[in-house]
Amino acid sequence: MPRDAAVMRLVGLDPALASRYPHEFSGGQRQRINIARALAPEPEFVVCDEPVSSLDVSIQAQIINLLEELQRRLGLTLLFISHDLAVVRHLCNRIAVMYLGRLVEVTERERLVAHPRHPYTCALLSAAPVPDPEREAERTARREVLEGDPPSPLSPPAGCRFCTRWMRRRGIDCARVEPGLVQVETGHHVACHLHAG
Amino acid sequence: MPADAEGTAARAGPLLEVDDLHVGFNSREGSVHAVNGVSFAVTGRETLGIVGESGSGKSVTALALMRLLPEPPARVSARVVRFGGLDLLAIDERAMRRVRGARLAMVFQDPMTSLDPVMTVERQLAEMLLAHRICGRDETRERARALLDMVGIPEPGTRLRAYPDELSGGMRQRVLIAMALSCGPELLIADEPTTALDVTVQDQVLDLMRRLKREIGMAIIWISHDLGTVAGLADRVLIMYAGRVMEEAPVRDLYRRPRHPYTRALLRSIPRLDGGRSAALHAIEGMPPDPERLSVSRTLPTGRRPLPRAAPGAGNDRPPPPCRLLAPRRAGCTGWNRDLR
Ligand SMILES: Nc1ncnc2c1ncn2[C@@H]1O[C@H](COP(=O)(O)OP(=O)(O)OP(=O)(O)O)[C@@H](O)[C@H]1O
Ligand SMILES: [Mg+2]
Repeated sequence: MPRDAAVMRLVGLDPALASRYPHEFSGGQRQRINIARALAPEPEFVVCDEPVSSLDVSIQAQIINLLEELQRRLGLTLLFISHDLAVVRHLCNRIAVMYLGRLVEVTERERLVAHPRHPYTCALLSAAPVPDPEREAERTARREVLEGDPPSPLSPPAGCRFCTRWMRRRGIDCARVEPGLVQVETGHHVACHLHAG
Repeated sequence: MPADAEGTAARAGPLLEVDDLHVGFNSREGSVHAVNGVSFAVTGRETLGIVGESGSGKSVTALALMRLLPEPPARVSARVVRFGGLDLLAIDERAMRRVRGARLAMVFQDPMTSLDPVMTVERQLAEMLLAHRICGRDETRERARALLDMVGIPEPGTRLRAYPDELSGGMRQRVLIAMALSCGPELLIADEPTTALDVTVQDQVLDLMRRLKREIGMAIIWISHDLGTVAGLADRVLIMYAGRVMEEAPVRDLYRRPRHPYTRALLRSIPRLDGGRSAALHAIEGMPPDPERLSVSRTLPTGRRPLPRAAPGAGNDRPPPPCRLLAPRRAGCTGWNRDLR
């Protein structure tokens, strides 16, 4: 199957490996095969659901670089789902942050990292440990630790779903009325009573 | 740390000393060389971070120190494993039981394997306290409540009556830490205690560990594959690869001036949120060698060659170069002497 061979090569695999069993591949190779499979029908739009979260960092970097290169070469549109904000910031042009099944903030990547508006986005950004001892000490001195655990998605809190974990809620509104996603600036949407205009 | 405390620690020698630890497993298919000559020391009040990719031998090292690997199939040997003056590999199991959980405690990678699902939190804590004669039966409730309070569990009186599956992941991890601390250990081994948690909950647990470190002043071995959590917690860091120590350095040196090419590659392979966005990540091609194919040859390889990374199926029986002692820090690999000036 020449088409398969081309796709295998595209994701950096030797087409001779095509006859191997899945358990004979490494985690990174298996992920490359998954990507090859998704690309075989020549889609315009690919959904990647946590494609790197189970991989070691050295192999995660291979897959991220591969996705970036494929996106450039094939002009793909990617929806990349991940719990790792640093990975998303590296790979994606725009970022949508979700909490308990709702979008809470959507904007361009550098804007999200530099000027987050939603308190949950702020918490996510400031909770990520930094691989640098001095900057990590600065981070832990500055940030507020978010209280509690995420509530069960089966019985989300009334009103704003984030209100049980946010200490400076705005009185009654937050616990009763669910905020909608509103545009706070061109291309920047936030669902929070603090930014309801 | 006050100068006199440091002096005492130095005079008394390290709390834990491990020299040339080897752990293998025999199986029908052959033998796995999981840990191949690991050496390190931990002094009182110090936090040692152990970092390595999956399968590099972090958990097996910890389990061997706790003497929790059944032999056979495991084979554990070392020149020295000394903890607080005791030869941990030589003492009998009765003596080891007095050490394990009391002076040397561990928080395991999988929280559910170390909590009994049909026992309340109070009973599990009470059994620990009674087994090690920390207090009498009439005091266990008060002690248990104080322990939960110490690890930041709200309403500790209510949580004492809870069963493990009634607790959230973050709460469970706190209970495990409370259990590990119940006998006031001199050394706590924490094996990836935050890996399964959400980043915001992980941050709470990291905060707790930093507070405990400050307040209790015990020594900690913090095992993780995440260079981020280690940066804020460890005083010294060990980088492991294929069951060997690749580099050991004080935390700032390791991140600022990594000597071993593998350490450098690891640091450059992680996307970051601080600073500007990096243009491309540094990928390390291939994957770590299969421990079943590693030979245990201890001869130092000569000449310059890359770190062995294997394609699965492709035979790779060359061990990565072992660590040589280079005061005041160490970086393994002779082929990279250029980098070790
Ligand atoms: N009981 C066992 N029998 C055989 N092999 C084992 C056993 N336990 C561990 N190993 C092997 O020893 C090697 C080291 O395993 P270890 O659990 O120490 O890795 P690790 O560094 O803790 O990885 P992770 O980050 O995934 O937890 C692995 O190749 C593993 O498959
Ligand atoms: Mg492990």
